[in-house]
Amino acid sequence: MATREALVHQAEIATRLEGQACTQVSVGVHHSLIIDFGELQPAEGDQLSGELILAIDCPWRIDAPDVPVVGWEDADEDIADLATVLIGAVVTEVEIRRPGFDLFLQFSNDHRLRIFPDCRAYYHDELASGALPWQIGGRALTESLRES
Amino acid sequence: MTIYAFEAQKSWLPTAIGMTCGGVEFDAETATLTIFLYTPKLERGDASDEPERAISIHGVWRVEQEDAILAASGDLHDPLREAHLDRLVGRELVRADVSHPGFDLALHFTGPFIVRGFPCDSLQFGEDPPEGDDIFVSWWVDGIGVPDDWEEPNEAFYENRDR
Repeated sequence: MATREALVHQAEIATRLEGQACTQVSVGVHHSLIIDFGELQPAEGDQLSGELILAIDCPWRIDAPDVPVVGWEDADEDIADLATVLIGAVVTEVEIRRPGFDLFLQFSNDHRLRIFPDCRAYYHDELASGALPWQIGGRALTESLRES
Repeated sequence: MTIYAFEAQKSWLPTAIGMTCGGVEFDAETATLTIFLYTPKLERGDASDEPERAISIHGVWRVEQEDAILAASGDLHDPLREAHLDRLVGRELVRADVSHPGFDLALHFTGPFIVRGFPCDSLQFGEDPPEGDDIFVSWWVDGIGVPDDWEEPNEAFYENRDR
């Protein structure tokens, strides 16, 4: 699947996050953020994984109503600590803004996650990076694929 | 007191509206994009080299034209970056939006082109910089009559707003 086509597909899947509760937040390589939604179950190794997983591999920021709480350029230890503010909160609104495919998630605790893709390669198939700025996976998607 | 620096820089943006982009530079060493702006001259040839305004964005940014992304901060080795940034030259800055609480910047040029800045270092939003650090913000305005002190606001902005 071409990168842009994959982004369009991800934008459709993103609507499934609405109504989901954040159950786990973790920091990956290069400040990437991994957010689990729904019931956690044992996965590979000692890991737990949610029903849906949002993996963010580009700049992002979590805002409280009056002030940003934590962002992509913060230190890993601060991210690991401060991003937990989302745990227990439910996604009340999902918004995708084009042409950048910026993803906005509004949470029930009045916090907002903003994702800002920052590579031209995401949008131009001829650049063929194959990478996506953010993507959604998890067993809920795998199960629905099996059912269909 | 970096949140005050953001507020002060925001107050200088209206002074650049109506100016025309005369050049765009990306400094890879400091990861800073700078847009140079000039007032249109009635007579050609009398423009000084010094831009009247320069708006700089450090860190994360993106340049959009309608439904396309022309350039972005994450493309470290994009051979077309310079050519795409040059498409801003000759365009007029018609609007500058700052959205809160993150001081996200959107510079709207004729074309239409939009240059976006996305601050994502939460330390910038404190009342004081971290111990041992200088005041820092992700975007700022320079130019003729603009003070070097990032926390010094454009008083005229507040006078006009309060009228």
